[in-house]
Order: sequence, then structure tokens, then C-alpha cells
Amino acid sequence: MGDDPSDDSLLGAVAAGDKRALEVLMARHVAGVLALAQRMTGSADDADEVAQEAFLRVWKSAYRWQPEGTARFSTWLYRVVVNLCLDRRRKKSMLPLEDALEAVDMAPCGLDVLASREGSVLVAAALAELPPRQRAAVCLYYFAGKSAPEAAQVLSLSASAMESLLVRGRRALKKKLMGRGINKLGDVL
Amino acid sequence: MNHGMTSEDFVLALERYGGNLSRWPRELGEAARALLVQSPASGAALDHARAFDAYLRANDPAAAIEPERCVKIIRRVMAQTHTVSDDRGSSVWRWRSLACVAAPVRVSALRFAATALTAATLGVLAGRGLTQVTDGEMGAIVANSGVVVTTAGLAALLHQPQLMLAEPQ
Repeated sequence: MGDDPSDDSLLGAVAAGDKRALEVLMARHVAGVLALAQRMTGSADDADEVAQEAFLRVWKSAYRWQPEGTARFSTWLYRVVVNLCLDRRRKKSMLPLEDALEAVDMAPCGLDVLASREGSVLVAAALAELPPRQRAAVCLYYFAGKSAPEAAQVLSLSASAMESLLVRGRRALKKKLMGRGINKLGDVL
Repeated sequence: MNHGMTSEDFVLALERYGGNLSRWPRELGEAARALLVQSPASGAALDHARAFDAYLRANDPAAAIEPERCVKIIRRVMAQTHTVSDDRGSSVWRWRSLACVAAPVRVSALRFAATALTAATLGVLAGRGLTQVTDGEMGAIVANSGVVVTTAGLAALLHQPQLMLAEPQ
């Protein structure tokens, strides 16, 4: 007998006002939601706010969920997250790359931190420069591990539109990383 | 023998789906594997795509989400559920939503009574346990994502609303 209830079962309980079910549902998805929001917004603080708002929407709107449908709960949740990120994308401008690098601690052991963080700062900066839809497509497919059809569902796009976004997003990401002078990736890119 | 995939098709598919062929649509992946057997240039293109994928994975801007941060979000949301409860609608609306949840449930009166008693008992026990979950424990729950709260506690949680609904029918 399976011990773990399905998302749909939990959501049914949430729809009925069960806060403990909400807690379980959040524990299951919160890390993925935070990661997606952080990649999309480029800010941990914004990601926290987006995650919080997304789960409150789950609490308020769970009764609308139709478990019989083809869409999975995570698809709906990720769609909410992406929309919240897109809504606030220019409310708080992204940290320019130069500022982001300066923000890294340059104290003795901070050099190691810099070495390990530089790549992720560069990727974050490159992602931030992508058009929002391309960024969402890249984040969902390459970082969140969604399949192309799942990512298309999240973004409410056709399969062909999603594929087109993925091609353009990947090309743009490469170009922007090359523009950052990542010479060691010359062979790769 | 490559199912019609050209080197150009292959490079475009690499840009579309990345270097992990297992994530490609099945037929495309098969065609790509057939092409790779006879095209060293395509093999080099695949190596480059995989290296780029690996670079992205290694430099994921959100690679590590700390369990403590997850717990903080959960706690904040739980604290706010009290204030947004009223937005969820009137009691009539609540009953309607509950009815949707319970619609497929058809239980005999005897089974209902027995299950209700069990669920109520477990619910009290589970409620007591869950409300005593510490931040550290919740962190462990999140870190092990998937295994959250097991068996009796969740069974009670999940069945209580359905049983509540079944009553007026």
C-alpha cells in the first residue's frame, strides 16, 4: 500500500480546508518552486516572495482544481510561479553582472568562493538578459528537468512554439556567455 | 540507415533538446543514434552540446536550496492561511468544494461509521504529531522530498474531508 498520497489527493484535502495537507504539499514542492523562481527572477528574496504567493494561491484556489484533467498539479503550480515571476520581472531590476561579481566576498577564503560562484553568477546574468519567455523555457527544460511537452503545458504553448523558444533560448544563452568572455568554454561553445 | 536524419537536422535537434538523447522524442533519438554511427562530425557536435549542458548544470544559479529556507517559506504560508481563509468563500461555497472532493466517494453507512471513527482517532493523533513538527524535522522532510508524513497521519488527513462530505448526502 502506497504511503505517499498523490498530489491530487492532497489538493482535494486542501480544497476542503485541510491545512496539514497544504503543509505536506508544500514540503513536496517548495524546493523546486524556489529554484525555478530564483532562476527566473535572479533574486533569492524575490524567489521567496514568489514561492509564498504561489502557495497561498494554491490554498485559495485548490477547489478549482480538476484532478480528472490531463494536466498535473505541478504543471499548474509551475505556471503560477512563472506568471508571478514574469509579472514582477521589471519591478525590481536585476543586479547588473559587474555589481553581482563585486558582491562576492573577496576575503582570502572568499577567492575560493568567487571561483565556485563566478560561473553561476555568469549564468544567472546571461539568463536575466534573455527575453522572459525564452528564459522560462530554458529554466523549465534545462534546469527544472521538465520535458519539452511539460514545459509547453506550463507556458500554455504549442509544442512547435516551445521548440522554437528552446532553440532561440539556447542559442542566446550561448551567445551571452561567450560575450562574457568565458574563454575556457571556447571549445564548448 | 539513419532514418533520414541529416547532420543539419541533428544539429538543430541538439539546439532544441540538448545533448541528452534520452530526453529527445523517441523517434528522433533513434534517428540520431543511427546517424552517430556513421558521422564523426555529428559525434563532435554531440560532445560540444553535452559539454555545454554540463556547464549549465555545474553553474546552476539555484543549485542548492537550503532546507531551512524551504521551512521558512512553509511557516510563512501556514501563518497566512489564517488571514486568507475568508477569501476562500462562504460556508456554502466551502460545502460545494467539499462536495466536489467527495463526489466519487460512495460508502455504506456501516463502513462510513467505522472509517469515521478510525479517521477521527488518527486525525487527533496525527494533528498532535504534525503540530509538534520542529523546523529541523521539517527540514529533514523537505530534504528527503517525497516522504513527508506517512501512513496513518496522512490517511487520516485525506479521509476526514471526504467523510465530512458524505454525511449530508
